[in-house]
Amino acid sequence: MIRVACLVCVLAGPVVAADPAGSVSFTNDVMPVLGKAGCNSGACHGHNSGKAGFKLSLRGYDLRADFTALVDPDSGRVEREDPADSLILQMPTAQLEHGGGKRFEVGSESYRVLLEWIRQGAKSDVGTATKLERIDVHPAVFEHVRIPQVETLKVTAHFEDGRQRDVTRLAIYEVSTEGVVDVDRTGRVVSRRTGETAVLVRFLNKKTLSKGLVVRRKKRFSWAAAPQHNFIDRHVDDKLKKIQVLPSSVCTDAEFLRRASLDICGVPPDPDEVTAFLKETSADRRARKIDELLSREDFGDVWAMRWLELSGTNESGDSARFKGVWTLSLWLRRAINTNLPYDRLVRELVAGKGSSIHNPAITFTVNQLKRVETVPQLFLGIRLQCAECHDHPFDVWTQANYRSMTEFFGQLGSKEGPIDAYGREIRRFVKPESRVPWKAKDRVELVHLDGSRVSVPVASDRRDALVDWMFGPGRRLTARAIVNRVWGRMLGRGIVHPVDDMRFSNPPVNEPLLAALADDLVAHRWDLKHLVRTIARSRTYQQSSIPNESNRNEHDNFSHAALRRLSAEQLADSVSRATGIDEPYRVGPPGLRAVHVPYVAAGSKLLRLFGRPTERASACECVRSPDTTLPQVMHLLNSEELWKKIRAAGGTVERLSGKHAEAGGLVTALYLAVLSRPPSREESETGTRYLATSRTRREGAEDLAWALLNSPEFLFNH
Amino acid sequence: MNLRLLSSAILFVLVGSVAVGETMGGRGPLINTVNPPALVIGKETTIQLEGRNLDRATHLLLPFMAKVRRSAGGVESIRFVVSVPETVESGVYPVRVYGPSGVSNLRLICVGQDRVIQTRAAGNGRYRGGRIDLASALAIEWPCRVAGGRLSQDIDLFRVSVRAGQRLVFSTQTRQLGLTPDPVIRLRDARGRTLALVHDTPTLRKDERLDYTFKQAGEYFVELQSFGVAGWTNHYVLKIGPHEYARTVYPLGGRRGKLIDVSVVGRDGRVASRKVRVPSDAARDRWRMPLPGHPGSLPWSMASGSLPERHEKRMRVGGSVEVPVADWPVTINGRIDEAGEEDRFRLAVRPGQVIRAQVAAWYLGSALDGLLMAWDPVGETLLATGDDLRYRANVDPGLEFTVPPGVSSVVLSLRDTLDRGGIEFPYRLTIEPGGPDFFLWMGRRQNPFENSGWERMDANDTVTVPQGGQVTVRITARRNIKGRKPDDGYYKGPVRGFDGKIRLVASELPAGVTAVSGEIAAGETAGEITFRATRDAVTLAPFSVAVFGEATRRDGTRLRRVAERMLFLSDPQMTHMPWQWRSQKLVGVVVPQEDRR
Repeated sequence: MIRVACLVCVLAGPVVAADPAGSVSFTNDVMPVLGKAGCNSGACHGHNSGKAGFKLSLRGYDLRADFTALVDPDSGRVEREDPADSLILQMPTAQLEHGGGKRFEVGSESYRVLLEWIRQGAKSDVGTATKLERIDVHPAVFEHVRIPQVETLKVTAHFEDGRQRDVTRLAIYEVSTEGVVDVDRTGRVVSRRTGETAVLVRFLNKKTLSKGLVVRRKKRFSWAAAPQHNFIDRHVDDKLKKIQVLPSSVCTDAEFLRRASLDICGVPPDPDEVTAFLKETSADRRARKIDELLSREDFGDVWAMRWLELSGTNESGDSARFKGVWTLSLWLRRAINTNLPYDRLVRELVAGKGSSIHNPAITFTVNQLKRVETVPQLFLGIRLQCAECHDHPFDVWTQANYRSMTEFFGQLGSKEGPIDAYGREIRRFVKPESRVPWKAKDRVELVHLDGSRVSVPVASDRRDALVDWMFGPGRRLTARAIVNRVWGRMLGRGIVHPVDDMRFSNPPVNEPLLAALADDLVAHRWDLKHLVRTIARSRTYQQSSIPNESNRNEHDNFSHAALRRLSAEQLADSVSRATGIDEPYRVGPPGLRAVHVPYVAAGSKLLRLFGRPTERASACECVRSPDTTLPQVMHLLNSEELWKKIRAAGGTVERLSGKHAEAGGLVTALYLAVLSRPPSREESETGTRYLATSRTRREGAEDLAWALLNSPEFLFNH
Repeated sequence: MNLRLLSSAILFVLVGSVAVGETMGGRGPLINTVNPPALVIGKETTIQLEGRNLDRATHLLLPFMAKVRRSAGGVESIRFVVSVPETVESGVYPVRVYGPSGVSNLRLICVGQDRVIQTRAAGNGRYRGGRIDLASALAIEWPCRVAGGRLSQDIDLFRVSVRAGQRLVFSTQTRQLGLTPDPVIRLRDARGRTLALVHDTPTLRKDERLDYTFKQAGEYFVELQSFGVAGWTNHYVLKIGPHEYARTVYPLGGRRGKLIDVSVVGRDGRVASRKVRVPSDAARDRWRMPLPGHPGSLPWSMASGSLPERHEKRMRVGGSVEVPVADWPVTINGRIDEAGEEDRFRLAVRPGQVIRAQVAAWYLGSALDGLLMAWDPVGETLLATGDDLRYRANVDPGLEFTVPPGVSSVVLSLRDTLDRGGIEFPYRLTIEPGGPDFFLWMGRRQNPFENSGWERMDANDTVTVPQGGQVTVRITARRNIKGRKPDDGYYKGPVRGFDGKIRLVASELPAGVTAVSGEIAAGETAGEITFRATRDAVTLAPFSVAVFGEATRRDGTRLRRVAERMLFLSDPQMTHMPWQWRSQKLVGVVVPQEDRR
């Protein structure tokens, strides 16, 4: 065996080590080999329980543990006496049976690095090795105008001693958007379809991105200037020009009114409002309508429900209970409707003081979710969950970041005040041990996510320091997270998507737009109504959902309005408004809107079917699926509850049938009640004919209402 | 029936005249609801009581003289017409019924000047499409007390007319009356817009008070909603009128039998002083002080103690300055005047001394959630923290510690857990020698999680003695002896650890009734005391009797603790906190022998 190994070495030439003296570093040479071979991936030995008795830390976040596992004298993984007999050489080269198959060849560069390291005594240099400062990839941005087109990435590692090293072959590559490009182990990128993507490049514990745009250049493309209502349209147009896509035209007034009403107030407009708006001719009618919608209490209802849901607040015994949910909901509504600036809103929610009964904002963090995870996810778009156990594989967050974040909530005490079956009072306070006089001058040093440090008195509430950072040095992150969330809610897709996953490897589709919106929010003192108003006033928001030839296949850059299925609450409230009959809910007085019922156990089949979470166990926006499912369709088609509402005494159909003696007027009224628009001439004629052929006019009106309630136009925000 | 069972049955009949107090509820009358739970001073009011075994409840037991007439009755429902004389003070009073089958459990009823308007059982307000339907409101004239029924999922809506500048106070009396609703009051204008909304008014413990001055004349709407959606006792009283009310009082109590100066702080901050004599009843440590100048408030719950009293305010040097306490045991009356303030008391101590410090505030209407700490200022050591920071029931903190060797002074510090302060944060701090101690319960043990669903009709504080017969009442001790499984793991306060014999004695017995002392054996938690009535004892004449547990510690000091019963009247699930009434005397009645069959 020794003879074979020596022969391999002679044939393969000298080992290329990071160290100029030729010594092989465990940290900088061996670990990249193991990473590149996938040994420490989650599917292999990086799995939580390892594989075949051999466990490595996931993607090499714990070098000391990995070294110990490798050189375990009883394992045979490293044989210093007979290096080539080491299992870490024989297994990945498939000389011995290996569940993970062959990972590299005998004599390959990877093989030679490991062999030489063992020959040199298989020593650890963890903590003493030259520190890797960063890695660069070239090109950092690429644009392909043909399919296929090839790009070869080059990755350079920069060490603290000034040395640079080409690590292209040792780096690991992953694409953020499947299918746009392929990338192989050597960093060779081949474009496959139009779109945008990013290639995540990892080497040791450093990551970088190469962002790519693939677009087929059209020879005859000419940009047709569309009206620009504000800076949003400028940034969107810049991007559309770049990808050679024309935006759709502006939607009709009726479409705008319904869309804005649903997005801002959660319900479609009532018929009188539609009729009045369609009669308006002033140039600023849409802007004025946006302001009017923002002034309604419904605006607070909609956003309060969303925050409530994402906070995980529910009425279960261990959580806030009914009263806690209700008081928080009330507090949120009031805060949003009075336009409490976002920085103050977040401070109250994250660092609220006192008793949850007298300061319901405290209830925001009284739930089954972990504050250390929900606060970054909700307010910074950062998902720290992975870093609780290991460094984040696709982002820059480490276990140290997680531990630092924990410290901000660490010294906070809480206790229950008087409690009953319906309400649970939580009191938050700084723990007494840190408040005895001789500790009053002690300070503790905390580390923010950006690595900056802050020293706070031991008896102070550390959450204040966290919020100070979020709206001070970290405000860029905070502002981008909230504008992206609001944008995603109003346009159906975030500039970063998913909206609460603003990870390093998931870049925005329009960085200038995201940055401009964030800057604008900060410049307007975190005014959320201003943000919604700015978005709603843009041409981009007011574009038609009907695509043109140019943007038919474009769904990421806001060239046309996205079709969005109504949320569970929007649908329930739309049905109630259209039929004139309220949905019964299990808790709360009858006659409330769905968005007014803040509890998980609302007791409505319709809400459950259309995606209202039956538990609030995640701060992720993904808890609600926007998809349309067969049970939803079947429910609307066959629901006895819906049919009863249509036929109910005192309902819309009965009321309109009695009011409109003439069939055309009844058809128009039904269209306005259900679809928030008058019928076209053809629709009016068809409807009138149907009423004429029905057994009774009332029966015909019921059928027509049922058909309209089952139409995609009713089910979608378009 | 086999022979063995038959003999058991015979034995049961033979000893039938011996009953255990806590089982009396099985045969005696039990009240569930009183409707309306309100009486008018100087007027006649008909009240309906619902419950069990009410057919033989011939009398209504009130703590004041009133003309009472039984108007109708059945097993589950009974009516009385009550005429309250003008001399009765406004307030909340216990009400029971009694008759040949015994005396019932306690319910609460409020007595006041304002007329009572009874509304129908179901809610009279509604929403439509998420908007309040103002047309569904019930018009009422103020001042009044609305006695509403069954406030549950629905809302109740009332319309009131006011002139410009009119001030009105809308206040609920629910939890203070042992009723279920946890109300929310919302005031709306004629367009349905919310003008004001209150829930959890500080110091009222789930009852609400909305004080509003109307700028414009017109019609306004009061919406009442509740979170207590279960049970039959979800009635309420909504009081409406331009009432004055008290925000707080100082001090919160005094030494038994002494005349004390009490400052009553009104809604506008004005202070009214009055001299009040503290009741000298040794069996009770709580009493209610009427507030005649503040008809919007119920009588204030006050404390009575047997130690010398001092006033922290009078000896304060300044905020967070240590105050020497040369003489103790003592009860210090104080107040956390400002947010973040900490009151500190320096005690001269000897190593080995056991010191107990106990705060009384929350149950006396203070907003204070106290955090009590004891530390050695020289050695910079925290000796004890007087609040279990997780336990929900320890709103008022207490601690006990042994002075370590070499320590000659300790500092007791008190602050609000949430760093609040102000006029509504008075307290009483009692400092006394500590040591092994115990609590006594009337009846079975009171553990929040062991009570069944019927403790709303808890009759453990009653005793019904047959003429010429006897009845045995169970008394339970909570000892929480160190090293043993705690008999109440939820109590974290300083009263604990006594493992010796406890002798049970009764006091204040009426003529014809005697008590045979019992005992709770060393280490045990249950014992009995027997009451006997002579053949000529007066029947159907209610009496009250205190049961004390007397014991001697190993060091020779004597303990005397009264048996008590905390009554959770609103909701069985509320047994964690807070109790609405604390009975420290058994209420008894002697009944004719033939009626104990």
